[in-house]
Amino acid sequence: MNDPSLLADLVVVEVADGVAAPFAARLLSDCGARVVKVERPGGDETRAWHGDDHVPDRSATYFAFNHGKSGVVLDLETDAGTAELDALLAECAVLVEDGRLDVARIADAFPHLVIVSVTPFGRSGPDCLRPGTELVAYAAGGAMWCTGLPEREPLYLGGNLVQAQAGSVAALAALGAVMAAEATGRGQWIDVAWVDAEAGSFDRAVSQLLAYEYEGVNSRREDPLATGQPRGLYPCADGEVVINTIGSTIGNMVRVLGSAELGDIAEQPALVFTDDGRTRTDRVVREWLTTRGRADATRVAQAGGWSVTPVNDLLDAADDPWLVEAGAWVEVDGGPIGRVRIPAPAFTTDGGPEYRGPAPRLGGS
Amino acid sequence: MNPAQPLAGVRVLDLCVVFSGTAATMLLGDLGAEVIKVESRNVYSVATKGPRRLSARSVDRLDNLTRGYAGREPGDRPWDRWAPYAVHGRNKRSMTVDLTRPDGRAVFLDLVARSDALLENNKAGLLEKLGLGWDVLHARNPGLVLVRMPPLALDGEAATLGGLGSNFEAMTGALAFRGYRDLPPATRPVSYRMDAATGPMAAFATVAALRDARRTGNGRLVVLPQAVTLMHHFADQLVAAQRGGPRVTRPGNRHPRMAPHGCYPVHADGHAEAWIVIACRDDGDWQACARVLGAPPGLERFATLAARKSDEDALDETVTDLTRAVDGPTLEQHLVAAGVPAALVRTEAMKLADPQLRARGFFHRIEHPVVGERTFPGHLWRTSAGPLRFERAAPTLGQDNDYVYREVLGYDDERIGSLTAAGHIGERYTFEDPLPEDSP
Repeated sequence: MNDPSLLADLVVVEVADGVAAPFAARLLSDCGARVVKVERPGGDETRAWHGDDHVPDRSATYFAFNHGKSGVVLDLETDAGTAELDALLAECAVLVEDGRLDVARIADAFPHLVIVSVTPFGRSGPDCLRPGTELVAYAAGGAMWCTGLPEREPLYLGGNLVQAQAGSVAALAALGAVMAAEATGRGQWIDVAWVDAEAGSFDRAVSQLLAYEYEGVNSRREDPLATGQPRGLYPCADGEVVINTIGSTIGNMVRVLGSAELGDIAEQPALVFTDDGRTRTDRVVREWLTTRGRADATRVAQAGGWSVTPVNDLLDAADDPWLVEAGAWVEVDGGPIGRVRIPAPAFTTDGGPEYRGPAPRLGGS
Repeated sequence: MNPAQPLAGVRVLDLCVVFSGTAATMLLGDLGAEVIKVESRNVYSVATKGPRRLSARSVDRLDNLTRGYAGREPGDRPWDRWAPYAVHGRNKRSMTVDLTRPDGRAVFLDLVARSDALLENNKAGLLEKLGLGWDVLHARNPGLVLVRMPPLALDGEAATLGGLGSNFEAMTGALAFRGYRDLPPATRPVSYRMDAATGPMAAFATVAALRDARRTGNGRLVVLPQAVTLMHHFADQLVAAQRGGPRVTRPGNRHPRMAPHGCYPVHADGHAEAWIVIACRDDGDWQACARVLGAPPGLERFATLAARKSDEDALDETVTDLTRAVDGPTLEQHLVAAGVPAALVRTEAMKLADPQLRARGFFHRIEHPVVGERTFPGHLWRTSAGPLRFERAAPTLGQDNDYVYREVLGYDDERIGSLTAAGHIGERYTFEDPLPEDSP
């Protein structure tokens, strides 16, 4: 058998619940690694999320972050369970865990092993193993302070985006450590905190952090209109669009709008920063959008070199003409959850990631 | 080898012009790779270096995305004083060459022959226009890994769409599960998760490909559509919507299975505002939380999740009344001690002083060639194997021309002299050149 997949030779054991650590293991699995997911007797907590009638094999969340893996249920509170885990660890290159294991013991017993811990605050420091959730990690590490409206409370982003980000960071760190282990014969312990991954992320947090160091001024929740040049969400005839106008595209915007009222701004874009310029521009943009739907506004604006795109909901996105044309979706057999459309592989290359089958059923796949 | 830096000895060429790609090459540099930014004296990347001219006065009207000038002084060369560039430029080297001219293209192909990977996220078709498509690069170096990161696609109508990360993010549905509960959808905040997501995923793809090339000698082409990468981060929501779940929600700070789950005001202690988030995962968390809040009478009616969910407005009002006058750091400390997930919503000042981030070596004190010694935010993970790399601050333009042309390429004085005379090699952009004497 000659599996051409990039990580076909890699065996991974995952002992984790939730999104972050399982997503890390799933990214390895996508590329052909053989991932054995170890669940406690009741199963991963996400089996109860987004479920159908609370059937543990039909959770959308569980499916999304665990497809392609095989599964085994072990009670790690018992000696027999621990012995079975050790037998698995003796045969694998990477262990992904979420903070529940005695890593010092495992590292000692299996020095070849790459151990990847993925936890909210990390497995070291004064906040070692402090409990966290998506909301808490975004508040502690992310750009929450500047997310939302100035007169309102800061807002989180919903979903499990912070945890997924930490998971993708963990997958990268794991692979780097695998390369090191292959060169030296020795494993290492990777300690990923959701909070660190978020504080270092390019969703504004890391840039804002250094901006503060440089300027001594914190970020703030901004009135999107205050910047002058149209930027952010705008209502249109059938929903909203996102507009990003930058200095060099103010002229394009005015030409697309075709409004004589903004002629002076086309010639002198800096006028958009005056109170009068900002107010007029905002009014013309909003009027222009009242008669146009998302797709129409996007086509016309893009043809004129102005960055306007549709805001889709979760089902619109599956039918978005540009996403569909780009091949962003694949329809797969999700096993217990039936046929579903999922995001296409995150990257394409020979032997690269692909959908490798349903998520494991609880207690045997 | 330093096992924390397994990419030591790997050379990566960086042609990236927007954040997502520069984040990927930054992460490869953290892992020990030698990353060379291949720049041109004629091409300025506003997206990664900020505006090229900026008056000191205009600093005051910059927004979150564009601010961050050391000492609030943009100076003559603002890019070298701009925080975002300093972040993604860490550990990197910079060389200059004009790829649009045959002698510059020849230099680049020589460099390709001596490199392991090339990452780019330019406008679709640019590499081909420069005569540097995959076939050409692969012929020159069959071991080369080429990673291309278009927002959506390399060709077709999808490739023609322009925009920032927030444009494409909205398209994927990533905004469909955020927003204030009581305000219209157009007030939802944008974010830049696509830039955040692409960095680790593209670096992951590069490392997987490099590992394979190390064994087989074969390079490969990797195409990573950034929007698709982001969709994997909320595949749960996308699948749930197809199976009868909501296609759009504006939960505020609420959560379907937790309550209280929100952002509450605390005593601002002289500041304009201060906030804490609390997420009670179960009844036990709520009981502990209620005790910390002083367990005033009346809370019994919220004993079960069903009860808390059935009147969550009243629950949030009750919690707000109890947190409003309390000192934030003390409340956070008590909630954490009681095992309740909670955190103050941290400003950058709070993060910079955070004992946990500091204990984990998140920050690095490094000398920057232009702005001096500073505390830089750094690495996304820790390892028992030793420190990840943070050796050099972001490079100034062409700072490493000497190193690249002499040591990497092995060119002699004569060739370097003629490339300098031809304008390829230099440490200033051509727009910085003094105007000719007779110009108006």
